[in-house]
Amino acid sequence: MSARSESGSTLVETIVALFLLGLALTGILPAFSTILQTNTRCETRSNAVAAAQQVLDALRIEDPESLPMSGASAPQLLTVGGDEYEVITRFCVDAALCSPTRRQIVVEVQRSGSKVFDVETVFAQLR
Amino acid sequence: MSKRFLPSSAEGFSLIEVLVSMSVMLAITAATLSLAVSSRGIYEADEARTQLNQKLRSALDIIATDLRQAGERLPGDFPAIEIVDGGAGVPDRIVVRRALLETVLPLCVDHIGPGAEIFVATAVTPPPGCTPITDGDGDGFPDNMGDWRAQRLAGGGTLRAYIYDPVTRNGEFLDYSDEDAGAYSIHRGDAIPWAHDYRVVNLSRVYILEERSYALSGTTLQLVIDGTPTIFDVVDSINDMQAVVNLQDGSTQDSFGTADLWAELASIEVSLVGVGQHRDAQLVRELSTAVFPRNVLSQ
Repeated sequence: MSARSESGSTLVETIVALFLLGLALTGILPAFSTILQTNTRCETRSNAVAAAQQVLDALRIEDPESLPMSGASAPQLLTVGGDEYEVITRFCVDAALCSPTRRQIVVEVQRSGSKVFDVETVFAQLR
Repeated sequence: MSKRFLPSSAEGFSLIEVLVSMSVMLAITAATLSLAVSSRGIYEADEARTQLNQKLRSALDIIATDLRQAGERLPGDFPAIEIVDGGAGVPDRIVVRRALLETVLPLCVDHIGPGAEIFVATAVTPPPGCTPITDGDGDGFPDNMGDWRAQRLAGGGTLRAYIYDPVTRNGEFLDYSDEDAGAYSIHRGDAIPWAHDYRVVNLSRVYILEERSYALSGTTLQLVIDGTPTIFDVVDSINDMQAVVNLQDGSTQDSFGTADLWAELASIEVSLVGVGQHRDAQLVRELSTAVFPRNVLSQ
């Protein structure tokens, strides 16, 4: 009788143990992939920030008065960290921030068509 | 064996049960373990990549910040930025300089040969570049020397100064350790022999500036401040550093020396190549950025 009950519990035990293992793994494995996704997003975003910074830096050399009062630049392709980013520079999106000596600049960084990062500033000549 | 151990079929069944359950368990455990191990492998590879990215990014940010600030309070004929081209496949060296004090001392007596003193004012008719001595604040020092003295005392008694001849484009660092109000001179405190002569007619002058020089030693990005023997390790795992200079006229240079005018710069592109290791696989990543030294606009 005792042998019977022991052997019977082996199957139940195994199933329960496997169930618990499965439960634990379904909890852990998605966490791994979430970390991977977060890391990738983080990298994309920091590359996008670098791309925006580079575009704004290049605009600094221009006299703000020579920059357009409206519209957007043609998308600029930049490769940062092996990935390609499209940078669109818009001028005077908020006309109130612009004057003949002042330009509002909005820089938007896209990766394969979707926006990753945008930043805006106002440039004026202080010389 | 005997009927006492009945039901015998139940005993036989339990052995099969054990075998089946063990093999099922083994199969499932093997599958889940291999899944877990491969997940961990991917996670570790990702971690190595992220770490390498972070190293490259921070190294690039540190260099870019210095390049943006380069040339602060410095005139156009002073070599604020130097790119020493290493040649194909050899890392470059990037040197940036910025003045820490607005006051620049002119050289008023030719400095030729040894001698710890640099004469920066003169009581007799001042040569070109040397302003007549005025002591507006009455501290016993000509005003420009007084500024230097105040800066020196605030800096702990000794400052790194840089003497520069804009015609020969020779310059060197020295420890500025004292000044003499009567002789209108500042003193070189270190015992290092002079590398060059400096002439008044060339409008030689002395700056209190900060020089930061970035170069690779092996795979470590190192920083040398003010030419001192102290070397700071910035970031490791860097295999290559290349800089390209874009000028405002559209031309491009691989090197930028003391004879080049930094006021003509449009941007400096810095590229870093990092190498990491994940298990047996080598991880190579390149990161580059272009910066515009803002002080070009002050020229």
